[in-house]
Amino acid sequence: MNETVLRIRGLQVAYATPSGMLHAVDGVDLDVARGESVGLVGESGCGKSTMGKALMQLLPPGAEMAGSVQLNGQELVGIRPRELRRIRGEDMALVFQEPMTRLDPLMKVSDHFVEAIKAHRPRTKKAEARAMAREALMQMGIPPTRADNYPHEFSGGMRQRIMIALGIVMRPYMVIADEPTTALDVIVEAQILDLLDRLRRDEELGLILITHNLGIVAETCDRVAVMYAGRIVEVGPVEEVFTNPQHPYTQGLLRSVISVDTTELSSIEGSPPNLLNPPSGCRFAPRCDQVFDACRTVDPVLTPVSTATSAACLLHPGADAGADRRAAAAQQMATER
Amino acid sequence: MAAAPTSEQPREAAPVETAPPGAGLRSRIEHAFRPWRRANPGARYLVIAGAVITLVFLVMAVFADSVAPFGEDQYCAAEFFNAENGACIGVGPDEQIPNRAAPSREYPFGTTDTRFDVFSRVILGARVAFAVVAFSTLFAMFIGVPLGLFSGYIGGKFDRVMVLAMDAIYAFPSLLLAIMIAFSLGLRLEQLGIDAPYVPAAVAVGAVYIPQYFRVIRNHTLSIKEEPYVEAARSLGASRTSIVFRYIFFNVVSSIPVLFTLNAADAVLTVAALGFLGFGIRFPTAEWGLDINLGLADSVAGFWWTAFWPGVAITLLVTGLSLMGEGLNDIINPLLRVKGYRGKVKGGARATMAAVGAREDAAELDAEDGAAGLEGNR
Amino acid sequence: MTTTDTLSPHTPGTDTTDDDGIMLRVRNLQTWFGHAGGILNRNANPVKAVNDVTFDLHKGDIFGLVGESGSGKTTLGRSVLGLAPVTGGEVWWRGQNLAELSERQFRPLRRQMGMVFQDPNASLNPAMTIVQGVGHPLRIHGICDDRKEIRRRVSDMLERCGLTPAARYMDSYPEDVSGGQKQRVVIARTLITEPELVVADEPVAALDMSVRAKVLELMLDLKEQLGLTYLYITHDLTSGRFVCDKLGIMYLGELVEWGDAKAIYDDPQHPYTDALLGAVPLPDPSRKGRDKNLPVGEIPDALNPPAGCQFHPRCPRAFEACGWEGSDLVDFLERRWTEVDADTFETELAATGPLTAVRTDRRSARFTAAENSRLLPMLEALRKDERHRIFTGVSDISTEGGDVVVRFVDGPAPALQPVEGRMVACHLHGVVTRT
Repeated sequence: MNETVLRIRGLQVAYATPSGMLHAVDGVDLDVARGESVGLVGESGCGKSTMGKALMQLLPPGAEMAGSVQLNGQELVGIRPRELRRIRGEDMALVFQEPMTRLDPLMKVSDHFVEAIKAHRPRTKKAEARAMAREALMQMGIPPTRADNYPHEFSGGMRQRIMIALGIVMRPYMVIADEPTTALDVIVEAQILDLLDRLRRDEELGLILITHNLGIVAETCDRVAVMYAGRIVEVGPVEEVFTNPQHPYTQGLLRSVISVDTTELSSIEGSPPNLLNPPSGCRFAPRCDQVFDACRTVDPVLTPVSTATSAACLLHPGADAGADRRAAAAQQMATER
Repeated sequence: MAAAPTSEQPREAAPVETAPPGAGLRSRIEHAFRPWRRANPGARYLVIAGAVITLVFLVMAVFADSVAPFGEDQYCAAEFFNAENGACIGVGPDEQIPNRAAPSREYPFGTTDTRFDVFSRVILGARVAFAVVAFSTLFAMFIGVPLGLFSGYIGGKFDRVMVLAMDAIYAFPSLLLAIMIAFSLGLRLEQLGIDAPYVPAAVAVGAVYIPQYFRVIRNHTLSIKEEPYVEAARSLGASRTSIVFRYIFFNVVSSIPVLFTLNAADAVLTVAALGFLGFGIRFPTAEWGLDINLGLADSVAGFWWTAFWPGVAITLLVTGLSLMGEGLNDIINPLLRVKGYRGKVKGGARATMAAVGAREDAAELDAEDGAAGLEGNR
Repeated sequence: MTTTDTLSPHTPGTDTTDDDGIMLRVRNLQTWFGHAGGILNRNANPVKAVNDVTFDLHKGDIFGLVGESGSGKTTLGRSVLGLAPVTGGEVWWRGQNLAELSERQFRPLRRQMGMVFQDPNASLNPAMTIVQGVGHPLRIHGICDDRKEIRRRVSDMLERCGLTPAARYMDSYPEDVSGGQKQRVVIARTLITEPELVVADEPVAALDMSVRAKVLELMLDLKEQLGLTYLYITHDLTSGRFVCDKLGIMYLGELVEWGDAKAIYDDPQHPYTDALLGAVPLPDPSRKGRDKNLPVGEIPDALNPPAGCQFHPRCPRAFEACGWEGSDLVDFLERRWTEVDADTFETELAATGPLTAVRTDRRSARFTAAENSRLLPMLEALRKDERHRIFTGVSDISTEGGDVVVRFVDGPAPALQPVEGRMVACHLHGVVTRT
C-alpha cells in the first residue's frame, strides 16, 4: 500500500517578471502513495495553483521549474514533450476547474474519448474505444445512452463528471485535481467529491486535491499539506492536522473557516507577502500571533512534530536548522543530477 | 474577535482637509494617462510617429499664410499682386510666374498650368484639409455619440428604428452619399446666396461617419449597460440621465479617440475624392484632391510635379493619422485583443485534450491562467 | 415565532405597522421572464425566476435567503428592490406596495434601502474616484450638494467601513484597491444615505477566504451600530447559522422552507434543506465517509420545471403525492443504467427501445418502440422494489394500442404550511395544495 507514486523534492517554480524573479513555489517536498489522497490548501497567492500547474506541466511560458518530480520513478522536470504526452492520460490525469469551457462544443462527448484513446493506442477499433468510453462514463454516473450527446446538452456537474471520466479512461494511477468543484453548487460538489473518492478507493489512485476549502480536504483527503508563500508549512494526516494544528498559520486558517458551529468570526490579519521580496526569517512572521524575535531572522524548515506530522515553525525544536538543511538538500540535488 | 476591524480607530484621526487641494484633480489626470504608461512600447512609438507627422501638417495649416511663399491663386510676384481680387495688375506675361516650371530653388515643387506655385498650394491645401476634416468628424461625433448612447441605453423600439436608419446610411456607398449631399447642399447654399465654400464638403463627409460613431457607441453602451455598477446606480436611485452620463458615458468615451483619428484619416481621403471629382471645394481654392484633378492632364504630358506633390501630402497625412489611430487602439483597448468566450472554449478544449495526452501541449493556451496566478502573487 | 405560526400565505398584504415589528411583507411575489416568445423561441413558457414567494422580514433581523445557483434568490432580492420586473404579488413597505411603483416613483425610496452586490470588482464605476462614487447617492437624493461636506461625509463613512485613513482612498480609483477594500467601498456607498434595509447579494462569495470573515464581521458590526435590517442572499449554508436570524430556503424560484434560522439548522423539515445541510463540507475529519444521503441529479432547467413539488425527482423521501410525471420515468431508467452492469443495461435497453421514442406528458409515459412482452414484466419487477420512489406514484402499467403506457397519480404542488414553528412546503407534513 505504501508504494510512493509521486515524489516531489525541492520543487521550485519561478516566473520572470519585470521587477525580478518571482518564486511562486520555493522548495516543496511531498510524497503521494498509491491510493492516497493529499489535499493542498492555502490562501490564494500562496502558490498552490502554481504548484498544481507545475505538476501538470502546464506552466506559462517564461516560468522556470527546478527540483525533482518523479512519477513512479520517471522524472518529470525537463521531460521531453513526446514522453509527457504518453504520461498524461496513461499515468496521470488532470482535472481542472471551470468544466463549462473545457469540452469542444463541436465534438460529441464520445468523440473526445475516441480521440484520447486513439492517441495512446492507435490500433484501438472505434467500437472498442466507444465501449471504453461508455464504461468510464457509467463509472462517473453519466447514462450510457447519452454518450453521443454534445457538451452543451449537459449541466456543469455532468460536464465535470465527463472531464473526470475522460481523464481516467486510460486507467492512470495518479490524479491531480485543481479546484475541481469550485464552480459547482454544494450538492453537486458533494456528489463529485464522493465519486472521486470512490474512484480513488476502487482504482487505488493517488490523488492531489488542490482547494481553498478546508471542509473538502477534511472530508475527502488522507493527508493535508498547508502552503504559505510558496512553501509547505505543515503536512500530516488530516485527523491530526485538523484536530491539533501545529503551525500558527494552520491554526489561523482553521479558525477563520465559517462553519455551522461558528460562534465567533476570526481571520488572519494582513495578507500573504510579496514573493518578489519575501520577508527574511519565517515568511509568516509578519502576520503571526505567536511571533518571537528569532522568527524575524531564522527561516524554519519542516520538522517532524509527531510520528506523521511535520511543521515549519520555530515553536518546535529542530526547525531552526534551516540554513544548513536547505543547503544540504540543494547540494544533494545537485549531485543527484 | 481576533480580527478587530480598523473601524474602531478614532475617526478624527485623519481629517479630510489634509488632502491637498487639487489632489482629486491630479489623481484624475494620472488616471487618464494610465493606459499610456501601461501600454507596450510599440504602440507608443506608433502614436508618437503618427502624432509627429500630423503635427507637422497641423503647424503648416495654422501658419499657412506665413509659410507659403505665394497665395493660392497668385500668378505673379507679391509686389504686383492684389490679394483683394486675386489679379496681377499691369503685369505682362514675362513678369508672371512661369507656366509649368519644373521644381527649382525658387519654386521647390514647380508651378502649374495656371502659373500657381505648387509648394504654396500644398501648404494652403493642408489648411482646407484640416478645416473640413475637423468640422466633419466633430459634426459626426456630436450627432453619432449621443444617439448611440441613448439608443443603446433605452433600447426597445427606438433602438430598432435607429439601428435600421443607421444601417441604411452605412450600407449606402459612402462616396456616392457624400457626393449627393455635397451637390444638393452646395446648390441650396448657392440659391440662398450663402458663401460658405467648406460647408457642403464638410457636412457631406460628416454625415457619412455618423453611423460609425453610432454603432461603436451603441454596442459599447449595450455591454456597459449590463455591468453590475449600472444596476448599482439604479439601486442608489440615480435617474436615467445621470446613469447615461455619469456611469455609461465616461466608460464608453474611451472608444472615441481611436474612432476619431481613424475617421479623420478616412475623411482626408473622402474630401480629396470629392475635390477630385469636382464636388468638393471650388477652384481656385487650394485643395489637394482638386489639384490632383487639375494636374492629371499635366502628368500625362510629362509635367509630373503638379499632381505628385498633393498626392504625397495626402498619403503622408493619412499615414500619420492612421498610425496614431492604430497606436491609440492598442493602448486604449488592449482588452479587445484578448480572446472572447469562443476562444476560451476552444483553448479550454485543446487544453483538455492535451491533458489526456491526445494533442500537442497546450501550455501557451494556459498562459492566461498562469498570468492570472501571477497577479495573485503581486 | 408567533407571527410565522399565524401567517397565512394567501392573505392579501397589509400595511406594515411599527407595532408588529415587520418591516417588509412579501406576498405571492412573482417575477417571470420572457413570456413573449419570439419566432425562434418555440417553447413560450415563461421562466419563473421567482414564483409565489411569501415571507415577512422583521425589523432588525438578518433574513438569510439560501439556495443553489438558479434558485432565483438573487432575482428575489432584486425584485424586492424593484430592480427586476415584478410580474405579480405584493411587497409592502411602510404602507406602500413597492411592486406597484414605477421606476420614477421608486427612486426617492431608494435612500431607505440599499444593495450590496456579489462582485465588488464590477459593482463600482471604474470611471469614478471612490469619493465621487460613494458621494454620488448624497447628490442624487439631494442630501447635500456641498463638495467639502460630501468629502467629509464620505471620509466618515469610509473610516466606519474600515478604510483608514480615508484620505488615502478618497481620490483613488476602484482599480487601485483590493477586492476586500472594494467591497468595503460598496458597503460605504450603500450606507451613506443611512438606509434601513440592505439587500446583500453574496457579499463575500467573490472574496478571498481570508478576507471573508473580516467583511462579514464589518457588516455585522455596522448592523448593530446603525440598526440595519439585512436580506442576506447566499449559497453558503455554513455562514447562515452564525449570521442569520431567519432563514429562507429557495428551490427553483419557490421558498420551500422559511422560519427561525436556529430551528431550521437544528431540525430541517424539508428534505431539500436537509440535503443542503448534509452536503456542506465541514473542516471536521470525523465526518469523513459519512453517508451524506445526497439527492440525485442537479437543479432542473427553469424553462421546464418538474410538476407537483419541484424537488420530487431528486427527493430521497418522495412519495405518491409528490407529482410524478412521464419524464421522471425516463430519467429514472437512465440513472438506473449507470448503476447496473453492461449486460443488464443491454437487455433492458432492448426491452424499452430507445428512450428518445418514449412519449411523455404530465400524467403518463408511453413506450412506442418497446418490446412489450419483456418491458411489462421488467417494469412490474422494478415496481416491487421499494427503493424506487417513482413507482409510488404509478397508478397503472398497461398495454394500449400496442404501446406500453405507464400512468401516474395526480400530484399537486405543495403549499407552505406551518410545521414546528416555521413554514414548509412539503407533502410529508400533510398534503396541502396551493389554491
